[in-house]
Amino acid sequence: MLFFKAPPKEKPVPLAAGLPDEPVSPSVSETIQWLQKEFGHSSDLVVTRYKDAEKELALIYVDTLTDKQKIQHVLPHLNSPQVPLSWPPFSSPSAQACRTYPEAVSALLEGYAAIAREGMPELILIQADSAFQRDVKEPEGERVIKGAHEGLVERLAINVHLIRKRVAHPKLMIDHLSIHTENRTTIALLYIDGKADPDVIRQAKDRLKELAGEPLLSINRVEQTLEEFPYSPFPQIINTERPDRLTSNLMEGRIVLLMNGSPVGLIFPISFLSLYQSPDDYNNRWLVGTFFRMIRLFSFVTAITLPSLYIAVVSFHFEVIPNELLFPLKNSVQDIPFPPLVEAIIMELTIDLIREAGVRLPTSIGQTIAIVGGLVIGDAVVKAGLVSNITIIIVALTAIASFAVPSSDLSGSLRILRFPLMVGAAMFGFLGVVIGFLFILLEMCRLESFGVPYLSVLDSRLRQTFKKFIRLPGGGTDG
Amino acid sequence: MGFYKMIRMGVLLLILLPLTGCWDQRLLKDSLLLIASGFDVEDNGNVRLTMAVLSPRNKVLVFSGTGLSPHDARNKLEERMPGRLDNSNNRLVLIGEAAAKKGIYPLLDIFFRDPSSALNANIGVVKGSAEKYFTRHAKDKMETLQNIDKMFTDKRQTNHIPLANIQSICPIFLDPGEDIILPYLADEKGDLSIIGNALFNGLKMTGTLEKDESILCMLLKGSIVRTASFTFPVKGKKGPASPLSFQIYNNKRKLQVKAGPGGVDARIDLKLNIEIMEYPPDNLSDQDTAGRIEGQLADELTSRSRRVLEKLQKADCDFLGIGRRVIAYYPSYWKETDWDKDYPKAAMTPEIRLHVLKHGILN
Repeated sequence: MLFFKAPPKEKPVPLAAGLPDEPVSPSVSETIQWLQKEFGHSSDLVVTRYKDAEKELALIYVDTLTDKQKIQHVLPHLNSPQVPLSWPPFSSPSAQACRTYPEAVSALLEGYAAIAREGMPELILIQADSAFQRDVKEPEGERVIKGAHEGLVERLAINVHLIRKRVAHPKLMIDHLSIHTENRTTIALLYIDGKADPDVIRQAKDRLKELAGEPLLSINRVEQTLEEFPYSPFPQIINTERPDRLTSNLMEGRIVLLMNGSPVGLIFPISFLSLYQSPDDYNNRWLVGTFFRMIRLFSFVTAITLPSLYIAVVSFHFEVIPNELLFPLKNSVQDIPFPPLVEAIIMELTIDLIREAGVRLPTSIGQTIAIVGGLVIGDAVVKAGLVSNITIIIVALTAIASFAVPSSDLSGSLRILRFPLMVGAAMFGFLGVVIGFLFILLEMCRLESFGVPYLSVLDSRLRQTFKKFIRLPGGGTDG
Repeated sequence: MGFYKMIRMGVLLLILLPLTGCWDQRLLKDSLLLIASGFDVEDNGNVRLTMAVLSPRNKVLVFSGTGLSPHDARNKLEERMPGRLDNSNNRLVLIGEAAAKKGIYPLLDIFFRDPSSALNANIGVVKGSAEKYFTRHAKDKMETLQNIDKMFTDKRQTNHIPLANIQSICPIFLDPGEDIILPYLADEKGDLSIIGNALFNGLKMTGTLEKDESILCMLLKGSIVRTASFTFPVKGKKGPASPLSFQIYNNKRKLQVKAGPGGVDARIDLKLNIEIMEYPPDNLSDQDTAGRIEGQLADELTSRSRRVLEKLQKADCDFLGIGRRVIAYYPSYWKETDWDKDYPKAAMTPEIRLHVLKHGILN
C-alpha cells in the first residue's frame, strides 16, 4: 500500500435520505403493511388490532424496545368496542402525533408505541421505552480520591440529566443532532450559550455530517471525524466518563458531545494542558493540586525521553555519568548480549504486553499476571543476564510515568512515541533524542483543536502561562 | 494523496539514516575505562606510560609500556588490551618526579587534544616513579584508586593543595605571570599519600613544599576552601608553653605589588578569623590572654610565611601571580624585565593578623 495509490474512498449514500417523506395513510391496514415492509416483517414488531364502536385501531410497537408496563395503561382506552373513541384517545404529556412514515419509523426504533386509527392520517406516539440501565458508578479508568463518584452510563437521557443537575444554568443548550446514521444514533451537543464559541459549534456540526449513512457504534468514530488532524499521535479532544469533568469544562465555555449508547463524553476545543488536568487538582487544596499537576507534567517528559536518554548515555556519552555511578552501571551492562536499544525495546514491549494481558483478564487474575510479569520476569531476566537491572529500573519508571497521565488516549500515544526516540538515540545519541523531541514539539505546535492552538498554554505573557500551570486558590479552572 | 507521499518520503529517509551504521557508537559495555595513568621518563628520553584500566570483570588491570611519546606508548599498550580504551573517565594523572622536572606539557598534550578526554582528572607529581606505584598498589584494587580521588578532594577541603586538574592548570602554566603548584605524592608506609606540593616554574618542577607550608602557601594565595588547621606551642604568662590548635575558616587577602627601579616589592596582608579547637590552659575569654595569643600566633604564622615565600622564590615559582600584577600595572617595567631572574629577587613582605572569633563551648 505504501508504494501504490490508495484506493479512492467511497462515500456511503445516506440511508435516511433514501426514505421517501411519505405521509401516513389514513388506512390502518396500509399503515401496518407499510411499517411491516419497512421492518422486514421482523418478529418483534408487534401489531395488535382493536375496535371501538366505529373505527378500527392498531397498536404498533417494537417488542424488544418497549416496556409493557407503560403500554398497559393505554390499553383500556383502546379496547372499548361500545364507545366511540375520541381522538386522540387520551391526553398525556408523553403522547404526540406524527404525520410521516419516516418519523414513525424513527420513533418506533426509539421505543415509542404508535396508535393508528382508521380515517386519521396520523399516528399517536406514546413513550414506552424500556429503561434498562447500569448504575451511575465511578468509572474504573478515571478514579479520583476526593470528589464526585458518578460516571456516565450508556443512556443519553441519563447522561444529560447528570450534567443538567450539576449545571442549573438556563443557558445550557442541548442540541440533538439529526445525523441520519445507519443505526440512528442520537448525538447531542451540550454547550452554554454565550460562553461557547458559535464558530466551533458550526464547525463540529459540519464535520459530523460526514457520518451520515455510516453505522456509528463507538464514540471514537465521532472523535476521529471531529479531529482536524486524525493522523497525529496527540488527541485533540478529551474523552472522559466523568460528569464533573464535563461540567467544569462546560462552564469554561467548551463544548461537550454525548452519544447514545456510549458512556463517554467528548470535550473540545482543548489545549495540551487540559489533558493533564484531573478533577483531583480542584478537589484538593491548591498546594497539593499544583504539586501533583507539576509531577504529572514532568511525567510527560519522563515517559517520552527516559529510555532514549538511557540508551544515548550508555551507547554514546557515558562521560556524563558521575564516577560513583559509572562503575556500578558498567558492571550491570557488562555482560548483556544485546545492544542497549534491543535491550530496552525488549523490556518496553514486555511491559506493554503484561499491561495488555492484565487489562483483558478479570481483576483477580490480572493481579496475578502483574505480579508474575513484573516480579518474576523482571527478576529472572536480570538473573539470566539478558537485560541489565538499570534497564529494568528505567523501563519501570517510564511505564509508571506514562500511566500518570489522566487521559488514556494520550498515555497510549506516549507509550508509542518513545520508540522513534529510542531508535534516534541508538543512532545519534543525545543529538537523536533532541531532534526527535523537536519533531514532537513541532507537531504539538502545528496542532489545533477547532482553531485553538494546542500549545496555547504557552502564552507570550509569562504571567498568564504561570497562572495556567499553577493552580492558585480561588475560583475557576484553567488550562 | 499528500499523506501517502509523506509516508513514502519518511520511510525512505528512515532507510537512509541506518545506512550510516553505528560507526560512532561508544558502547559502555564494550569500553575499557581508563581510570588512572602515570608518566615516567626513561634515561634515553623515551616515555614510559602506565595505565590503570577497569577490566570487564571490574578488576583493575595495569599496563605499562615505553614509546617515543605518550601516544606512541599508548598505541603499543592498546594492542595488549582486551577492548577499546576509553579515556573519558580518567580520574588521576600521576607524573614521576623525573618526568616533571623535564617538563609536563609534552605528557599532557594527548589529553588536551582529545575532545573526549576527562579534563577533571586530578593531577599530581609522585616521588620516584609513577609506574612503581601502580604496579604495587593499584593492581586489582578499585578502592585504592577511588580512595586517591577522595584524598584529593579531602586535601583540597583542608587547604593543603590547590584545585589541580588537567583543565585548571592549563591556562596558568601558559601564563608568563603566574605559575602552578601540583600536589606532591609519595609512598608512605605502603600507601600513597599527599605529602606536600611540587613547585613549578613554567612547565618544569623546581622544588617542593611540606604539608604545613602548603597550607600557608594556599592562604597566601588567598584561598580558603573550608578549613585549615594548625597546632603551635603557645607560651603562657608563666609556666611552660602548651600546644594550641586552631582552625582558620575565613581569610581576607590583600596583595599589593609595586614595581620600580629598585625591583618589585610585594606586600601580602592576611586577615584571618580563627576558631580555637584545643588549648588546655584556657582563660580564652579573658581579653588580655586572647590578645596575647592572637599576637603570638600571628607572629608565628608571619615568620612561617616568610619561609614559604623564600621557598617559592628559590624555586622561581610565582604561584601568587605577582607577575600578573606587574603585567597589569607596570607594563613598561614588564617589557624590560626578565621575570625568571627578577622574581627570586623581589621583596615579599607577608603580614598576618588574626582574630579569635570562637573558642568552642567552654568558658
